[in-house]
Amino acid sequence: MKTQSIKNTSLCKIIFALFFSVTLIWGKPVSINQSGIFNKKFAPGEVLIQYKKNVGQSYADALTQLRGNTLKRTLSHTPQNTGPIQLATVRQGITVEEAIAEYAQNANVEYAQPNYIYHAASAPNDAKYGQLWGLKNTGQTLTDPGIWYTTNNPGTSGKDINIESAWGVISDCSSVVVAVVDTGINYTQEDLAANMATGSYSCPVGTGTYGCDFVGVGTNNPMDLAGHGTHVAGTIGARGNNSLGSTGICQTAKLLAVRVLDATGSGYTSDIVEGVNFAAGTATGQGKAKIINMSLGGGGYDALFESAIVSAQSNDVVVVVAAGNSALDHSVPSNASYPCDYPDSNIICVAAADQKYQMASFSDYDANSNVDARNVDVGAPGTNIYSTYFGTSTDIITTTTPPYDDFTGWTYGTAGWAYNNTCFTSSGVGVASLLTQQFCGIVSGGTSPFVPANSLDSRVYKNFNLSAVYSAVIASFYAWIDLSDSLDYFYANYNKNGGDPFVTGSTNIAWTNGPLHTGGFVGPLSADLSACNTTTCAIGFQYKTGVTGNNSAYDGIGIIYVSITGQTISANSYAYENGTSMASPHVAGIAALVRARNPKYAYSDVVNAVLAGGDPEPAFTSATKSGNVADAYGALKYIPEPTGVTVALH
Amino acid sequence: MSILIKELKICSASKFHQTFIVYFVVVACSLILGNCSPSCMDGKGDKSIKITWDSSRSYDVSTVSGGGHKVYYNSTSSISKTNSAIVDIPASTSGVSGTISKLHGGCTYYIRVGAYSNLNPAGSNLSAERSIKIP
Amino acid sequence: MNGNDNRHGRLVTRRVQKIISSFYTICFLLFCTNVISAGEALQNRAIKVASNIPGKSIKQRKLNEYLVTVKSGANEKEVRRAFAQYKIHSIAKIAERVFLIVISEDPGPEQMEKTAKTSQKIEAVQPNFLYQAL
Repeated sequence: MKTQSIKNTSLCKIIFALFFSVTLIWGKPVSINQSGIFNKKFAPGEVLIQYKKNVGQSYADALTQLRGNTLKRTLSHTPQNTGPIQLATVRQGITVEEAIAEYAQNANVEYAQPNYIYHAASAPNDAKYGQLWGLKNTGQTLTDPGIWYTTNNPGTSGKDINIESAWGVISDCSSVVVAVVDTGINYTQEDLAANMATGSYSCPVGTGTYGCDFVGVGTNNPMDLAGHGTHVAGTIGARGNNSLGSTGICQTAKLLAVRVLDATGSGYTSDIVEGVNFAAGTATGQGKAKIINMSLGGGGYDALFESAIVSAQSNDVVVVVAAGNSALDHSVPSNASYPCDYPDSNIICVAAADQKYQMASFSDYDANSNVDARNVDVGAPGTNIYSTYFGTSTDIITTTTPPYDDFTGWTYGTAGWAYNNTCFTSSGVGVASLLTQQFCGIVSGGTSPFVPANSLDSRVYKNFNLSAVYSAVIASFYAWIDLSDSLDYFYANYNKNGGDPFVTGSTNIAWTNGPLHTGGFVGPLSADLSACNTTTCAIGFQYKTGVTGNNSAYDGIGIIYVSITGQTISANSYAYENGTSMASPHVAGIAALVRARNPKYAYSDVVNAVLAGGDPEPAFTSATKSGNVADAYGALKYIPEPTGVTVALH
Repeated sequence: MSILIKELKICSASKFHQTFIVYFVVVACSLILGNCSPSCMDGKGDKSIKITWDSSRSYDVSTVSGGGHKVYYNSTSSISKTNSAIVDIPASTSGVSGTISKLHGGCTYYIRVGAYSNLNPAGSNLSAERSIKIP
Repeated sequence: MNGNDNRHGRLVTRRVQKIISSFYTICFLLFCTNVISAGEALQNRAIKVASNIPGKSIKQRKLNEYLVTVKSGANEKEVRRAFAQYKIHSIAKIAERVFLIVISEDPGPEQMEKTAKTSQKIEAVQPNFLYQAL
């Protein structure tokens, strides 16, 4: 009995052992890895091993050295949610390929690869490259005059679009035409001239070489008279490594000038629709652009504008736009800004980041709780951005207080307007102003006994000599407007024949009707006066009340800070600017690099590459769709998910 | 088999052994049966399947050496990069198809395809999952 | 004692055998029947919500100018006919089926839309909105 028990006990142990071993055999996936032929140059005898997420450091050390290979080092910066990455030197007698195959068989290894050799791009020799923090942030302090965004200057080293790694892959975008739909481009600028998409373009009037001008009737000359478009163009594609000025994200490029905004930076639906259709058009004489940048915006839904963007989508064009500079949350319907908020999938809407990758204080954003519904997509550098410019502005007003007119010599056409220099002060000094009747009493908080009559038509105007030759002439002013009902109007006009600018033949600069109470001076309200280039260009303001309606004792208009400047184009002008307008071209440049690298990409691949390839940044997590700031190298690394997978018996 | 049962009877004399028998039988049973009969992923079958996909639009995947695709497969669904077997198809071999052999008839296999490049060895997101039942 | 043990042992063994066989059956049912999966992973389709609030926005427009879209087959003549009462100063073609008209008497966008609806050939009319560089 006892003997049998002992025999049975040993047999039991065998049986238990059998069952126990069964539990060990299953569970480990069989990995059949056919290693390929590595044709690219790699460091001889070295293998990089990416371990899976839960593999600890010391375990990785042991696994790397398991077969006699030497652990050279563990990489110090690895992506989140992955295990350690180790560099190993393979032992004598086996090849890199064989070592890789060995490592790949280990269930703890994500993948193993050769240590490929890359040629890092060295910094280009452009004179002001060190100012381009958005491309390379070394924590540099920007000290040039003209810099006014002081928050987070200097910023944080590394907070940039990683352009030098991207340039190790590609820096030439010239196979991709990028259209700058804006105030035009100064195509004579020394750092842009070689990167223009010169051609033979069918413009509203005549043939253009650098693009077309669609402002108003339009011309074949898209010269930039404001500076904005030139600045945007430089961020995308100023010539790199030519010792001059700055460099674009594209060191070589094909920039197409599409002028739809005038010298004051204003444009209309009609101009923009023509411009977008031209830029995206593929017929002879059209732009054939594959990327459009639009650093512009307006507040209301515009069916024709959206339709033009949808047409561009059918031509596979990516449209990169600025989010807006009013610090507004686009998830609130009344804050909607367009084209940013159009739902079309070929649009990338860009918010602005500062030098520490905080969101710029002025930047619009979208904090919609439904992430997929957010219209602002990604962030990009947008403060203290150095780039190419149009030239210089000269004051034309010759009074005792340039640059503003002192309001002497104005003609008060009908009763109502009067000169006043005590009502408003700035730093204790009275400010010259034109005010409608009793306006000072109203705004000082008192109740004026004067209620404007119905059917009022008060005009005030002055002749200016604008015959000097400039590339453009711009007038601007500030206005305080109180109009109680919709029948009351304010107009600003000019007339090149001089005298009353409210007769037939005059041109409107600005207008509004009531009800409107600005609660202070709004401005600058600008107008392009280039057509008023006579010795007697009359500029004037008009206050009209309706034939019926109750006017309030608080009604009236106040005008201050009237200035007129002449724009002179120059070839070596640069400037610092701030805005989501500056952030947008960083993304357009990245999109151009991605498109140039991957000629077969559809617009959706480019959009996905930009959004998915960005760097997560806390300030943008709940304020943009991707939660990222754009990264040029990340966008180039992105790979679209394979499609059209079929399986069949073989 | 009968010997085994006879030994089992003897072994189950004590409660300690009973517990262990139950435990191991349950565990062994579930593991064995979890892989069904036959073992679909044992690499010992005689069937092959061919997988095809759209050529990658990425230049670094399809044209720069060091790029290619990986086919991930398993006999259970919800394939990921970490829970499946892998067949590597470098672009120099093919940009649009690959075969998996040594599979078993009677098994269903689930497949997803990923693309990779020198710049991005970890690779793209995986494609939609496909399946095939081998008769 | 031995006899009792043996009987006890046989009973226990039988019970264990029953447990084993029921487990076997459950295992078989759970793991050997082919679980037919959906086959295709669910695709994540992003849904963009359109924020389209026509009419409510405080949008600036150019006085006396409107953009008119005509229906297929219609042309400039239809535009003149539809809006003649506002004294058309000029008409320019902006895009396929889209014309920019400048009128002498601006009745406002709502009235223009009412007028457009009275014509069979006019698809839409909208103001010429103002945009600014950002």
